[in-house]
Amino acid sequence: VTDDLDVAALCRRYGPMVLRRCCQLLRNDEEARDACQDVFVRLLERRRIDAHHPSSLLYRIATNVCLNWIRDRGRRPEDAMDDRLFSIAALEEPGGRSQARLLLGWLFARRPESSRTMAVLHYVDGLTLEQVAAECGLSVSGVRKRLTRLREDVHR
Amino acid sequence: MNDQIPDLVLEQYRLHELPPVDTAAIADRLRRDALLRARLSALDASDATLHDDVERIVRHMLARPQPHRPRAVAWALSVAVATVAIAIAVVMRPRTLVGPSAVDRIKGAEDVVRPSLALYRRTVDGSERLADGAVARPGDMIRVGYRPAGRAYGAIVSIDGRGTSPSICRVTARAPCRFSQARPCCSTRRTNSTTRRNGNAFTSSPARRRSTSASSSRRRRRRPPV
Repeated sequence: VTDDLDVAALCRRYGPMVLRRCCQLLRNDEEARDACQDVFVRLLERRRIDAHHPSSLLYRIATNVCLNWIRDRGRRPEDAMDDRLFSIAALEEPGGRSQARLLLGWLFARRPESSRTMAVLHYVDGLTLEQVAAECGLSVSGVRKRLTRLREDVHR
Repeated sequence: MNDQIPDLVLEQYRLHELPPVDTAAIADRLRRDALLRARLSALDASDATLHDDVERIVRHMLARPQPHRPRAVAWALSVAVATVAIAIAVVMRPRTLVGPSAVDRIKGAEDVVRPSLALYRRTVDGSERLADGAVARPGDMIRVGYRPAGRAYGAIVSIDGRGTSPSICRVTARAPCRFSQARPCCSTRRTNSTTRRNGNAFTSSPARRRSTSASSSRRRRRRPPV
């Protein structure tokens, strides 16, 4: 564990990974750049990190920041040139996607942030339960329990 | 290890942060798997592409005031000084109102986005936006897009060419809604029973969902019905 953070060095080393992660989740370059900066600001606020595996921590923070960003999109007025309407209009069945988004928003609002991150790491990124457990610092059974609860909520 | 190596693991391999066993497994797989080599090359290329963006972020980070950790003595001293300063300020407080400083700003006052509507017609390969006065043919699927601009609710009223069949759609959430026949006075009623053919509306950035299910009684107590 290190106390003196050289954020510039960390940003240069891990910035591309974090930025890629933000782009992957947000699918918007501009938002991804802002989110990436947020990630390193959060790191700066932590003041100390596990010096051996900063990538795990940064990937997790990036995932969290992006999920918050996605959640808050609905609360922010869009810019005037927003072409999101056009993309929705072109969808075959806009209702299905919207309903799914609503369900996920409702679901994640009821569960802790860490569960949300675990779900993304496992279901979206394809990490095994063991890998998710290692990334999040939990036992495998703990991760399994959290994901089971999420699934039960969806079925309910 | 999975058949498909997750991005995070590949990133950690490139950063030399994997345990030796996993590193060896990936190195072995790289010798056999052309697809994995291509993924690795793509990451290398992406690093180069993102270089300028990362440098910009570094500059922003360096420009931020750095949080520092005062020592215990300095902390105690500063608390004492602050306490004395507050006490003096309270005693000597002038009885005048202080106007906004040069750095004050009203959040959200600039670039106000207003709620607006847009009409789209489905085409074979997607959709086209209809301009004002455009003619729709029988059988066209028309979608109405509503940009809420941060508003919690919106009501879209549609009147046909003869002006006799008002339809109403109340937009409250991310879910699309259907146009339905409505009585003129029930502008906030959600009616789904008689759906107009080929017409629906959707929002681009709607408000938070307001559940009406029985399970949300707790939330209803906190928030009065609109």
